[in-house]
Amino acid sequence: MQTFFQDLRFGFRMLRRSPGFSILAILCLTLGIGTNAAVLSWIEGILIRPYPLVPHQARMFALVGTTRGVPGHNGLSFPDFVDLQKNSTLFESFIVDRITGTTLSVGDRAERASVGIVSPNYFDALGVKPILGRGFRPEEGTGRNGHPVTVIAYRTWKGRYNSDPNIIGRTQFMNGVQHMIIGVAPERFHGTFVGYSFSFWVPTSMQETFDTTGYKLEDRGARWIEGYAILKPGVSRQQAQAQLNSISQRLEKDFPDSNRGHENQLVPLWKTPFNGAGNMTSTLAITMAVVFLVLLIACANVSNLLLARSLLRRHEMAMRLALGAGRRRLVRQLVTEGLLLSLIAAVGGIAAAYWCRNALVLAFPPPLPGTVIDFPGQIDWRVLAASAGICMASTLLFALVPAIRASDVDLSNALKAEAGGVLGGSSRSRLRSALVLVQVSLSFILLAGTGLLLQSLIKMRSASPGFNTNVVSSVVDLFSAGYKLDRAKIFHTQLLDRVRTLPGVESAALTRVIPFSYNVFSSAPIEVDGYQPPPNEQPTVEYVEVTEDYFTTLGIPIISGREFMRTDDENVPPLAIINETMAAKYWPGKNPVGQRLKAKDRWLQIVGIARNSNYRSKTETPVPFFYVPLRQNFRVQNTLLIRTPETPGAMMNALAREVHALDPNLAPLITERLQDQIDEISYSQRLAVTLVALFGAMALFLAAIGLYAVMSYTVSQGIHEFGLRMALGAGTKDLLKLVMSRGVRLTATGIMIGAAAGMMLTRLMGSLLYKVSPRDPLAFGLAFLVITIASLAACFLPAWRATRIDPVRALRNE
Amino acid sequence: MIKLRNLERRYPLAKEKFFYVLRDINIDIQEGEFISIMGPSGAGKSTLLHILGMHDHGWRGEYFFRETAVHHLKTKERATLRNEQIGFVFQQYHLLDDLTVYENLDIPLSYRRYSKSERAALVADTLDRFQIVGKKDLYPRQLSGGQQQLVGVARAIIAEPKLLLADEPTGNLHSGQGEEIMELFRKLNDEGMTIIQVTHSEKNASYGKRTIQLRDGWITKREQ
Repeated sequence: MQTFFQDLRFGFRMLRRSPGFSILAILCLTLGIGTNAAVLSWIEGILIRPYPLVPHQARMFALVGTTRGVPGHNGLSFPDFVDLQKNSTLFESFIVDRITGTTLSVGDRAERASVGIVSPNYFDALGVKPILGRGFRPEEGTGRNGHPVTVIAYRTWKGRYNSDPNIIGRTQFMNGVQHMIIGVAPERFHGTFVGYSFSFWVPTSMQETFDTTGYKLEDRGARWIEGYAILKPGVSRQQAQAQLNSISQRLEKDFPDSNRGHENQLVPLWKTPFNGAGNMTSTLAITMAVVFLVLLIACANVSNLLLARSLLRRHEMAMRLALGAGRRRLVRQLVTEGLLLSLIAAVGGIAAAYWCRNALVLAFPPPLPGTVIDFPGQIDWRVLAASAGICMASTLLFALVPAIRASDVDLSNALKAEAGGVLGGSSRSRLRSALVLVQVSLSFILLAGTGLLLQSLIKMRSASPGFNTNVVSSVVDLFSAGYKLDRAKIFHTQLLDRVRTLPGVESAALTRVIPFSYNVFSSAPIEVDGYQPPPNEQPTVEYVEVTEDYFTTLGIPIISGREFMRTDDENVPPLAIINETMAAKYWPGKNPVGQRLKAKDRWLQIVGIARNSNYRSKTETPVPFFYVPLRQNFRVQNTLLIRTPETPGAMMNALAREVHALDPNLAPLITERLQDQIDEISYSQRLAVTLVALFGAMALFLAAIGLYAVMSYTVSQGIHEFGLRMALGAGTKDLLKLVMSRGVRLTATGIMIGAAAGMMLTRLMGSLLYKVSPRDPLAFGLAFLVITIASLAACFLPAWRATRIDPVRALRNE
Repeated sequence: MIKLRNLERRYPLAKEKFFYVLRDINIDIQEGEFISIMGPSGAGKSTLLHILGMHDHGWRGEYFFRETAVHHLKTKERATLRNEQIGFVFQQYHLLDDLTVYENLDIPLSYRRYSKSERAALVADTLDRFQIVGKKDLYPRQLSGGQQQLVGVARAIIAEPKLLLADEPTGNLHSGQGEEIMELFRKLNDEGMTIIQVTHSEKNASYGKRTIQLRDGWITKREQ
C-alpha cells in the first residue's frame, strides 16, 4: 500500500511535468469513460430502474396483454385487473395506469396537461409517499365518476401553484369537473410512463371524465389500461407467470366472449412495449456498443501516447532497474500512473455524464403543449460501480502493454554513456502501428454504421406510409368542453361542411384516431363468414372510425368496391372497408366486397378494400385492419383531416374562425401536418442516428489524433534520415511522399480490416435499418472517403514538418 | 571476491562470424581492493564493468562473485545478488530528474526490504555523512555537476554494498570536483569497500591500488 501511494505521488508529479501529454490523455479517456458513463446512466434511468423512488424495482414487471394468433400486444381491462388482484397469491400487488391529456380551467383560460388515470393502490404499491397530503384510498377507485380527487406532481405544485404549502383541499377544474387536490407527489417521481412526466394523477373511478370513448370500468373487452405487477419477495418470474397463466385460463373459461385467446405476460421493465422503454431499448443497445468502441479507440490513443512517452522515460526506467527495481515493480508503477489518468478522466467523465443526464430530451421534437418529455439518466451506485469497472479495465487496456514494453530495458546498453539504445524499438513501432490500425478500423465501423442509419432515416422519411403526409390534422376538444354525443355530432358535421368550403381545401374528413398517433385504435374480436379460426384462437382486429372522404383526403386508394359516403349513417346497415391484408387473410382467393364480418355483436357488410397503409410505424409488417363509418359509430372527440396546399399555420387561422363561428367558446387545439406526427413517433431512429453520428465523429477525431501522433513521432525519429536525404538531393515532394506513404499504408490496412469487421457487425443493426442493406456500398464508400480524408489531413502536417528540416542542423545534431 | 575465467563478450556479425568486445578475460580481485580499468575508447572497459555489475548477461565464461558462480545464476537471481552486493556510479550521474535528493537516495532502499523508518534513518545518515542535508529537497537540476555526482555516490552506497563499480565517475566534472569524488572513493576504500573504476585519467587511476589495461578486448597489462 505504501508503495502504491509512493507511485501515486510520483504519478501526480509526472502528470504535472508533462501537461500536454496529461491533458491529451485525460481528454481522450474522459471522452471514452464519460460517454460510457452517460449511456450507462441512460440505460439505468430509462430501462433498468426507470422509477428512482420506487424500491424493489427488480421485482416489478410490465403486464402485457396478448391474443393468441395475433401479433403485437394489447392492454388490460379493468375487470381483469380486479380479478388478477383478487386471485393471485404470488404477487405483492398489481397497479394500472393510463396516460391521457386533460384541459385545465385556469380562470378564463384553458391549458393542456398530462394526466395518469391510475388504480387507487398506485402510490401505496409503488412505495411512493406524497410529500404533502395522501395518495388514493381503495374506495376512490370505484364508483362511476364518484371521486373527483387528484394527486399533483411536484413540478405542477411548484410551477402552477407556487409551492403553496396549503394546497391540500384546494380544487382544480379538469375536463370541466372540479377535482380536489389531496396530495403532492415527491420531486423525483414522474409517474410510470417512461418518456413522459405526469402532471396530475386521478383514480380509475374518474375514467369516463378523461376518456372520450365511454365508460369502461365494467367492460371486460376494453383493454385500455397498462398494468404492472410487483412480485412477492422470493418469487421467481417463472412461478409468477405460471400463476398468471392459470388465472388467465380461468378468466378465458368464465368469460369466453371477451377473453378467448387472451393471455397476460410478465415482461421486464426494460422491454415494456407500451411506453418509451421499448422504443429506446435497441437505440440504447446500439449506442452502448458504439461508445464501447469509442472507449477502445480512446484507450488505443492513450496507449500510443504512453508508448511514445516510454521512449522519453527509458533513462528513468533503466536507472530504476539498475537501482534494484524488478520489472514487475516498474510495471506496477507505470500501471498506477495509468490508473491515475483513468481516475481523473473517470471523475471528469462522470461529471460530464451527470451534466448530460437529460440530454436525450434535446433530440426530441418540441412536445405538445402540456406534455413534458422525460428521459432522465440516473447516476446511482450501480452506474458509479460500472464506471469504476470501466476505469479499471481501460487502465489495464491502455497502460499494461506500454508498461511491459517500457520496463523491457537492456541495462547494459541503456546505461552506457554514449548509448541511447533501448532494445525493442522496432517492436514498439510495430505496436504503435497496430494501435493505429485498431483505431482506423474501429472508426471505419462506426462511420459505416452512422452512414447506414443516416440512409435508413432518409429512406424512412422519404418512404410513403401509404397515405398523404401533407394532410393537416387538427383537434377541437369537445369532450373537455362538456359536449354530449348529439351536440358533438351536429358540431362536427357543421364544421366539416364549413371547412370543405374554405379556400385551398381540397378535401376534409373526420377520424377518431389518426395514424402514427399515441392514441389507440379500437379493436374487437371478429367473426368472418366462412372462416374457421384455429382452436383456442380468437381473431382480433384493430379498426378506426372515419367519415366519407377519409380515403380521398389521405390518398389511400380503394382497390375494390367504394369509399364511405355521407349517407352511410345510423339509417343504413353497418358497413366496413377492409385493407388488403385482411382481405387476403380471411377471404383468400375471393372478393370480400359484399361479404360480412362480425365485430362487437354487429354484422358489418364490406363495401370496399383499401390499399394497405402504415398505422403505427413505417417498419411494421402489414396487419389486418378495417374501417367503419364514423357516422354509424359517432364519438365526442374526433380529429379533423384537411387536404390542402396551405400551411398548418394559415389553416389554423381559417379553422379558428370557423370553430369560433359555431361556438365562440371553442378553439382548435393543435394543427400540424401528419408528417410532424410521423417524425415525432419515429424519434428512436432519429435519436439513434444522432447519437451514433455524434460518437462516430468523436471516434474519428480520436483516431485522427492517434494517426497524427504516430506520424509526428515517425518524423521526429527520422530527422537524421530526412536531413541526409535532403543533403543527397531529395526535394519537398520526395519527402512528403515518403512520410505520407507510410500513413496511407496504415490507413488502407485499417480500412480493409474495418470493412471486413463492419460487414459482420452492421448486420446486428438490422432492427434499426429501414430498406437499407447492412452492407450498403454507399455507407461503406462514404466511411472510406471520410476516413481517408481525415487520415491524409492527420499525416500531412508531420509530413510537411519533415520537409522543413534544416539538413545541416539535422546532421550535426546526430 | 571476484574471479573471472575465460570470459568473453561477442556480437554476431554475419553467419558464423562475430565481433569480440572482450576476449579471454581472467581476473582475480580480492575484497578491499581499489582497481582501475584503463584503455582507449572501444577497448571494452565499460562492457567489462557492466558484466561485473551484472547488467550484461550476454557473455560466456566463468564469473565467481564471493564464491557464487554467477554464470550459473538466472537473470532474476543475478538481479537479487546485484541489489544486495553492488553499487554503481555513472559518468552522467543518472539521477532521477523528477525526484528530490532525498527521494533519489530513498529509491534504492524502497526497492529492497527496508521498512519506512529504516529507510528514513539510512537516508538521514547518508545525507549527514555526505554533508548534503541542506540539499535534500532540491531536484538534480538545481545542483552542480559535482553535487549531483556526490548524490550519485551516496545513492550507490546507501544500501551498503560490498562492491562499488564506477564508470568514469569524474568524466563530466572539472578537476576540483573530480578530486573531491576521488578522495571520497579513497575514504570508502579505506573503510573496507571494494571499488572498481573505469577511467581514462592516469591521475584518477593512481587512487587505485592496481590498474588493468585493456585494448581491443584483451587484457594487455596488469600493474600493481
